[in-house]
Amino acid sequence: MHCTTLEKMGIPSAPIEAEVFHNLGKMYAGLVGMPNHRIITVPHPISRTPAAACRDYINGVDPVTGKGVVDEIVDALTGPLSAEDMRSGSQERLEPRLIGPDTEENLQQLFIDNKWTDFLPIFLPTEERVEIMLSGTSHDPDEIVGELRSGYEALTFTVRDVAANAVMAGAKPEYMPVILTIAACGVPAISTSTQSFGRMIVINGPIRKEIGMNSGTGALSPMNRANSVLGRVATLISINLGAGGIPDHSYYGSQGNVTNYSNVTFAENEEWLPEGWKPFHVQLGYEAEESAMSIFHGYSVFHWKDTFEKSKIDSILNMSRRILPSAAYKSGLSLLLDPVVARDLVNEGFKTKESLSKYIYENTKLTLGEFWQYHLVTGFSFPMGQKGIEPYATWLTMPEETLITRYRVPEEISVLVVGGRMNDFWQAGDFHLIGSFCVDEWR
Amino acid sequence: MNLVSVLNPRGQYPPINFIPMAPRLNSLDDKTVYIVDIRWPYTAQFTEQLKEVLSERYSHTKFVRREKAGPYGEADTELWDEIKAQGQGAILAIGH
Repeated sequence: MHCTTLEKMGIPSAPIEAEVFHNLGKMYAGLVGMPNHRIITVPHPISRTPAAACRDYINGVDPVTGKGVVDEIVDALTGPLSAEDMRSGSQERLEPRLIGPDTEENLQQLFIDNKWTDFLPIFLPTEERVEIMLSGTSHDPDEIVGELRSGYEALTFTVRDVAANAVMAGAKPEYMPVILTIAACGVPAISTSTQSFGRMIVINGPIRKEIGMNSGTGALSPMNRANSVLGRVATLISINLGAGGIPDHSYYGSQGNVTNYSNVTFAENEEWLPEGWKPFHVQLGYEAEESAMSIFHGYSVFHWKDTFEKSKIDSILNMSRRILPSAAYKSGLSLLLDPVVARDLVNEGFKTKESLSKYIYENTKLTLGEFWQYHLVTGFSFPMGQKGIEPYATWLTMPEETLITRYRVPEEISVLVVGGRMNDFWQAGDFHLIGSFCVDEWR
Repeated sequence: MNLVSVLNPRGQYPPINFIPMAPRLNSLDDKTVYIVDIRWPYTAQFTEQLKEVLSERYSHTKFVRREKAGPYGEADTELWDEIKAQGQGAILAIGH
């Protein structure tokens, strides 16, 4: 992206990238309008590779083209331009909205070959099925829902496009308000990052019961149609309406993320919240009678019950100290508490969710010396501090033993109640809230 | 044989707006070329070596190594302006 800026300024540029990103570089250059940009590649990885090896890479050959790296650099800056290199103007990319007619077998194969699925079986989005799906919302099928960027460009899409993906996932028409909310929120379930991010989706309010979501026993497992399908459709929307999810093309998550299958989608168990604990959406300012979809960013959810804890809060504090500091990057803490655990925490003195978040916020501090060692701090927070951005700029002037909070604000610690009261076990993860969106607007 | 038509499940892709590449240099001689380190963690040694190798091979060219301000994806407009004012070309490196 920096090269594009420089080229627009009239400065010839020579980008060098690691070979594993060759496809990405070529694709991105094409999308931004410089398909012939001269990209040089060297062996991968570079990070932490000794200087002598880097020197060998530079004196060696481009692993993609077989040409000398230095020769390619010189050619990128001095080689004559072709007419295609100097092309201007615009090229539309309109596609037919209807595919076929063909046999179901051939169309199923087409969807697989084009990577329009999550590779689990799908229902083909026939016109008839999509029409039925559209009965689940009052919105015009041709209404533009929004834009989504799951890969390297933002696509626009209509209510009908969303309905097609809902059909594919196996949705019922009554799920449409939630599905449209997920599609309209602008947050893709899948991102491009090499870090393999995941998402968590939490539904609150009356819509939970209206569409039969599970907030009790097995709520986090694939044991309820609404929970399963809503989580799945978020991923299909990212793939098809956000142009993402194709490895080595629009997706570079090194390991991927198991949460991408279903996006940890569940309803909060509002019925078994302890007295004084508000539903999550009410904490955010919604009325209890409103329905909301909250979407979180993170990496994982895992089991959090320690063996030797004296109390629930001791265990939570112990585990919370392992979470990436939120000041380092987009991080946070989400506690997914069984109602039994919520009750125990009330008995330990936490009469509200907010008091629990505040206590964790105040009791999980770390030193600046520890903070500066995090990888993501090196890549993001440290250069931001050098650039004068607070609080990092001030932190760079402070002693390493200075204590800072692990989370920027108590609100980055989300408390959610889910489960069937079978045991005082619970789960938690590094998911932090990106945003909460009203479902009722899409009814 | 039963044939069906289905909806295209994909959204509408934006148009591609082509950008003409900047005019190239006739040679590197007597030019100033910036080597911009975009600051991916633990890769500074690469751009340092790049400056050494290029300076050895192209003694009539001035290579200026600079670390871009801010995280790797963030623009450094001050540096871009400096390159425009004082340089004739730029090499950008490197991630991961």
